Amino acid sequence: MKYIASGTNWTARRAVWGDGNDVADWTPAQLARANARGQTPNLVLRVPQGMTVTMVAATVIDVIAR
Amino acid sequence: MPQTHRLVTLGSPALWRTTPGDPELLFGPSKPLALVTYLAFAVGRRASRDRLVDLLWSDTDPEQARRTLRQTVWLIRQRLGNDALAGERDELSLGIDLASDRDEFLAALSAGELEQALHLYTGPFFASFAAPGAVEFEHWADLERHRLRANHRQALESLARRCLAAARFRDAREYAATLRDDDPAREASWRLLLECLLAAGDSWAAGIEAASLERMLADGGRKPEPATVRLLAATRESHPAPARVEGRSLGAELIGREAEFSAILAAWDQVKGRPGRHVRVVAPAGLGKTRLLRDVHNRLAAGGARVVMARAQPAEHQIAYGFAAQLALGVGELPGSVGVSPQAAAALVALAPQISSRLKASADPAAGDEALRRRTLALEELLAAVSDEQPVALLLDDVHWADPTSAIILEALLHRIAETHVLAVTAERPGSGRSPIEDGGVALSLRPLDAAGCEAVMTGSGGLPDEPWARTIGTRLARSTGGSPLLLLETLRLCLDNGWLTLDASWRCPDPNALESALASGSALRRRIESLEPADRSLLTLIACAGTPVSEARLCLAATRPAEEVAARLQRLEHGGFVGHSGSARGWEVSHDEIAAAALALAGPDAQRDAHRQLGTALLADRDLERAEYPLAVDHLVRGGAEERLTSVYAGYLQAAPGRKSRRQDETQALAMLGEHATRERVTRLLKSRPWTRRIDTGTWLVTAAGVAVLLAALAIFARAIGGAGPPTRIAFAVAPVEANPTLNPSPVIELQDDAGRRVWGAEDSVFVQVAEGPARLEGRTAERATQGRVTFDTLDLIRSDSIRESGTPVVVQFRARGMRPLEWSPTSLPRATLFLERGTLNQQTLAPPNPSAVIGAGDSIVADLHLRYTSPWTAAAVMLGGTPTWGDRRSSYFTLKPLVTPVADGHQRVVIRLAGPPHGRDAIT
Repeated sequence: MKYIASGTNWTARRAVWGDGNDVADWTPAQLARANARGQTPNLVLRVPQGMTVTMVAATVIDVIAR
Repeated sequence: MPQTHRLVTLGSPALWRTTPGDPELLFGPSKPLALVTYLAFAVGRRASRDRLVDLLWSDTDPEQARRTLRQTVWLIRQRLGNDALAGERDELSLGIDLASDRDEFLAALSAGELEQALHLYTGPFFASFAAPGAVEFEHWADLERHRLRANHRQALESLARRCLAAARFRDAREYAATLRDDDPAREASWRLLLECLLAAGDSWAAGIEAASLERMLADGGRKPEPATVRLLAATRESHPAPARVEGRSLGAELIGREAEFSAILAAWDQVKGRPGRHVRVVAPAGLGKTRLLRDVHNRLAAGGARVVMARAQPAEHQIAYGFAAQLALGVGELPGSVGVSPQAAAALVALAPQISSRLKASADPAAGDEALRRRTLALEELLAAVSDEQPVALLLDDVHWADPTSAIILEALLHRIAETHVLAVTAERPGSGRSPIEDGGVALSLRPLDAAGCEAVMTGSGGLPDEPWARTIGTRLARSTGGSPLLLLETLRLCLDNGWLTLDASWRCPDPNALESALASGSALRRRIESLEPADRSLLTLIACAGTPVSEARLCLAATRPAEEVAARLQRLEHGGFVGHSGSARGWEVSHDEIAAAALALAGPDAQRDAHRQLGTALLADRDLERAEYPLAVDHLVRGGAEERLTSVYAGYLQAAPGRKSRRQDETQALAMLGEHATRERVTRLLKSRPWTRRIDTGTWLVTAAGVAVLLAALAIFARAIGGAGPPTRIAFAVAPVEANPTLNPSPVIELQDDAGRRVWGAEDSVFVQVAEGPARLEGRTAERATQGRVTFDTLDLIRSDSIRESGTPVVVQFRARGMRPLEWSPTSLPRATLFLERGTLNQQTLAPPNPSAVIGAGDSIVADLHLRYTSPWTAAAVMLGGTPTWGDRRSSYFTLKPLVTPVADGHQRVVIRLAGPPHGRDAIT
């Protein structure tokens, strides 16, 4: 899971966090698209190709804390 | 000159004055020594005179006793000095420092220095002392003796177990034997000894000790304790784990792999209480992977664990599901296996027909990808069933030799290992291209032995003398063998065989110069094989060519020699450490891949060809040959160049498939039979070998009946079919990719076909691939030349160049070859992996798709009950369901929920998530 959550392909051999493509950093458009289509594109770090677009199957739940 | 006093109480009691170089005995076992000893260990090192009288002179009247005490005190002061005993009122106290073995023993125990403690414990406390009137002292000494002895036993047991965990089996069995000898009536000590012997793989000695234990129990009219009954049964059933013969007593201890051994045992301990784990051992050939797994097997089995050991064989690489079937058979033997569902049982019977003796089911008829999927799921279910009650260890050796389908199954099992109660230890060579190890897995790399390790291997078999050659032997062996344990043992055997070294209780070197030149020239393995008799070498070549365990009967057939002669030669080869029996009905195999490689290299290509031909012929002549072994026999015939024999095997194939009379079906049979050895010439030759009645199908017969002219036309078509397809006019997928993520997966395989859709074997055209439409580009090799009518693009990445928000524009990839119709493929037209929330609640609030949200208090915990719908197009892949909140530490807050069955067009899962909520604001769980 850490690879998906960090937007890293296993070819990188370790999860790379905080490089802008972590699932926690998904844009509202990516989140909306996940709920609309059941998947959303994300930039995933691959070695040696670098960042490549990969479709990730996902669904999103909004939690509002007051 | 400094003088100290040493009180010896363990073993033979005495008090010594320890002047350096000149120890002097002051008291042997006597009442003065007893008095000093009592005071030395008494609280405050003091005691009342009445107490001392009671201890040592209770047989006389009090006045006489007090006089005798005064005389004894005088004597002690004479020997130890006036300060030795101080008298205060009615008390006596010890006034000098005394070093005592008893105090040192207890201090070593407290410090955890168990080996030092055992070294100090030289016998029972104050043994063999008795004197008139000293009953009280004897009683006191008894109690102290009992306490120290219990400590000693505990140290022995702890040390034995510590050595077991560190693979120091020789030490472990010594400690355990001492413990057993210390109290032969204690069953727990016998059990530990048996456990150590079984762990060391010495089932012979274990059998002897077990018999002694049973006799002792019978003599005493005792019933064995339940744990003893279990271990006795294990001893009776024990046979050495799939063993490779080490020969003589060399390499009896696991040297240089203690850390890895301990790591695997630690993983096993964790599996006992937690989810399953995967330990991957990676090392080049000859560095001890198999030995490590074998020792782990023995250790776990000796402890009563459920262990399954399976090993992939080089020759089985082309037998589809071969390794998976071996694994299923091993696991299927475990208790609980009958608990699998009927569907799983059917798939398992299809995978490994022999398992039907345990699982009552008919073989599942599924084929292709569906068979792979079902068998993967069935093995997962089988593992879950057998590990339901207690953990199971899978020791999987040489997985780099596993056939491709088994490798896929293994990968899926390992991805879901955390869902089971299984420790899977896989051993493989580097660069076998497997996925990185899963979360929570352990990766171990075996390193070559250093000089100390090489020396330790030698000292494990015998002591090294303090001579010049012995001081540097470790360094020279490490240099000569590259630190490979296998080559090290081969070098030592070569030295022993030639008398350059001798080994009794210790190593001797009659001629250091000869040893030096032997080590300098290296290649011990080659020289040992060269020194074999020609017939022994031929037999070794046969076994090496077999590439998989081969029975003695088949070896007799292949070698065309009498059974007695083959048995004698096998015994010689086994004694030399070249071959071993795999411990089951499977048969003989070369002791190590490196030995096999060296034997084959020395034999040369002609001898190898002969051996393959002999093996193929022998296999086919064996009435016990199973259907799954046919590819192996064919492989040997092909490698042996026995083309004529292949045609008769092909005839057998056709006979076994009645009713199939079309040329295409016969060609398919030929391709299936030849497997990776299929060439155009070979297939054509086989097709030509068919009886003429079979070469003309039903349609052609009708044509024949219609008239001569039509008959000629039919023959023309027939000749064309035999001679090969027409010119290539189109390209088609032999294997179509499923995804571009971004690598095209699986790798597309393009076939060049004629108008009738037949593969054109002779086609060598180039095939190009390009993006015909859409915002994407291809990376990797985009042009490949066909061989035997096929092209594989295995390094192709499809990189989308549009932005994330715009992504989704169709992309069309086109495969082209000159003069042929192009072939198009679009990733957007494929089934997609999707995940939707169908319904659910979060903290009892209903979640409403498509944009579910819930309001909670800041810092509240979250309990979400989610019903999910998903699509997963991947076949036999490991698809995991998990989540990540956008709050908290993202590096640790993600979570894995469960693996998903795949492929599934419309899957449903219900999951319950519990996690801490966000402190405030708006966040999301994805």
